[in-house]
Amino acid sequence: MACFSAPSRSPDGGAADTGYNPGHDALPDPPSPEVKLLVANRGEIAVRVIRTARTLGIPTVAVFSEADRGALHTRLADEAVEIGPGPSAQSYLDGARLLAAAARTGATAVHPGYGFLSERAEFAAAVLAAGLLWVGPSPASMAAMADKAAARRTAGALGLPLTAGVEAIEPGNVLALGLPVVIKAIAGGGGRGMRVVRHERELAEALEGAASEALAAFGDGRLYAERFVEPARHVEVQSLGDGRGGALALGVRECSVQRRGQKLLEETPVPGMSEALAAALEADACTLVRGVAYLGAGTVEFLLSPDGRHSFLEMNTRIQVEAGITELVTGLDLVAEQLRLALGGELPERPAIRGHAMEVRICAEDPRLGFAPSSGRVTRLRAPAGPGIRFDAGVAEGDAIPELYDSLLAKVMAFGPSRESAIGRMRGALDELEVAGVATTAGVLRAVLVDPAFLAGGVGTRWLEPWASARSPSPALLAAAAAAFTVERGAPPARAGREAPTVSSPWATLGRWP
Amino acid sequence: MAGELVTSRVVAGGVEVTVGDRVVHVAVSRRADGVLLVNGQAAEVEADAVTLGGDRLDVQVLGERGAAGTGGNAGPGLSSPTPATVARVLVAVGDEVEAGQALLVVVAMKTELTLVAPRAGRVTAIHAAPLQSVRAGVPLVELSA
Repeated sequence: MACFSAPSRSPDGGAADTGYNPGHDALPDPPSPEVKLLVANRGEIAVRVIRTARTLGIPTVAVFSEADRGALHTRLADEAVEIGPGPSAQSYLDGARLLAAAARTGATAVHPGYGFLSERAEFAAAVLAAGLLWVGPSPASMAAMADKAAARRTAGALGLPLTAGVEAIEPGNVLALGLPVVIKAIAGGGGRGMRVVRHERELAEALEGAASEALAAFGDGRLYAERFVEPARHVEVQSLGDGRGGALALGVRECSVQRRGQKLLEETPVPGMSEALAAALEADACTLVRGVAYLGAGTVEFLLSPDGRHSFLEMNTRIQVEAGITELVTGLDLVAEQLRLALGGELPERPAIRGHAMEVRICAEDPRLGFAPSSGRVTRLRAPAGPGIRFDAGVAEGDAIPELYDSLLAKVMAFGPSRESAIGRMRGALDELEVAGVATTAGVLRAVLVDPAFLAGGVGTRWLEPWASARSPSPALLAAAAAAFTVERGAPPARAGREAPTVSSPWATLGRWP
Repeated sequence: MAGELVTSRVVAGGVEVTVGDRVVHVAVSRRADGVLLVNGQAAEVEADAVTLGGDRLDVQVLGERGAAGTGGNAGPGLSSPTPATVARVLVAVGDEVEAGQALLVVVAMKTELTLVAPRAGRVTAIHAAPLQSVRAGVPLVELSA
């Protein structure tokens, strides 16, 4: 295919279930002997980056806030530096403190992980200005994609399909798109500053609410509008660029199982997607990567409408949470590829995509409470294992889960020769997984894995939340259980004329799912 | 129905249970063999769980209103259901608020939770300011009776 810079080659027949492509786990030859990597992140991705650096013989520096003293990533790194108080703004989001930590430890390179400063062009520029290696794309291509409206323009100019949209928002041109429309923040992400408008009368309030939410979240209240596609699926192409116009697409991931606009389960390849459509998405992703001379790993996201048409959504200029499933079907180590490309290395040869991989995110959230966060301490953690299972955790048993940071605790990945086998292995893994001390998404994901609609493939991005809420216990059942409990706890039935004791019984955790 | 506070009160002939804004009267009795009957169904009560009609619910009885430290239990109300940081206070002392009106927004694990008034009333006290860390279950806004 034209978009690949390197010829295809046959798969490595010796690869095992969680096989590794042995051609790509080395740094460019000759390697840069002086690389010392500061990982400007925490949790799962910090652990993940440190592990790859170790396999490559690169020394690592972890950073941590007061709230993360003794956290798993600080224990795995060669060195660990405290960078400030718990709140992210004074630690993981403070570029100056991160650069000071790099200077203090003699680090020569910075890997940003995902989240925090990973998509901030100014931070990348500051890292480069300090004479350090930035493991990511150039500040210019980051900035081009961070402005979602500009990214749309760039993609459109390169010929990628877009849904109808407007930038200079006024009620007239928004309504001219045809309802429903979705209002989005230009500086956006994570569903914040996003509003769906179905009726003309909702428009004014939606524009105002989205602008103030975007201002609060990003310090930038600018908006754009797009025609709203529903039910839509969210699919994306894992891409690599060499910064010189070379591009490589590594298959398409399905990421439609979401809550709050954030992914909870991903798989690759996309169930039911024709090879022709997957190839079209890959070609579009490569066009964009080549068009902005992108360097490193990035993800080009698309919406897939019910009629099978795709449209460009945005590009994430960093490693993603779900990169691991692409690693399972390609045999690549994408963190190693990031490092190789940052050091000026060549793109890997195009690997064959083999089998099917799935990831579920184990987050400290309570699905019974609308996925409300559940911080605390992990009092028990038993990792799943077995053929085709990979478990990437950011915490260990006994660790505190601060409320200050993301709720992701761990990722369970399952690989098999077919989607059915990957699902079967994932079910087994989730049965084996034990997490106590905080509520997690494991139970609801277990239930998703046996749901007929999910098994058929093709659920949309707004499927999970109503599905989960419909499976929460009914008020009648809650009431009956509360009654049973109250009585059994020995509260005697009140005698006539006397006030009975009141027992307040919020439900802490709600047993098995469903 | 997720996230609702369930309060039960023993009354003659059974238990009066409030689920969210609904009050449900549940008949509770004991069979001759000692089995607890809830609306005619046999219920099994363990140390911290109730099994009823094939469904099992883990239950925790807290003390009086405002019990703290149980993270993620009660739905948004006058206190945060989970340790959090106050993002925005949307009302002031003296404001008349309607049931369901947003009172303040807290952030936990990068997720915004909006705490709403469980009933109409006047705001008599606010124990929250932006960037303040709050524990679960600690009253943040007080309403007149």
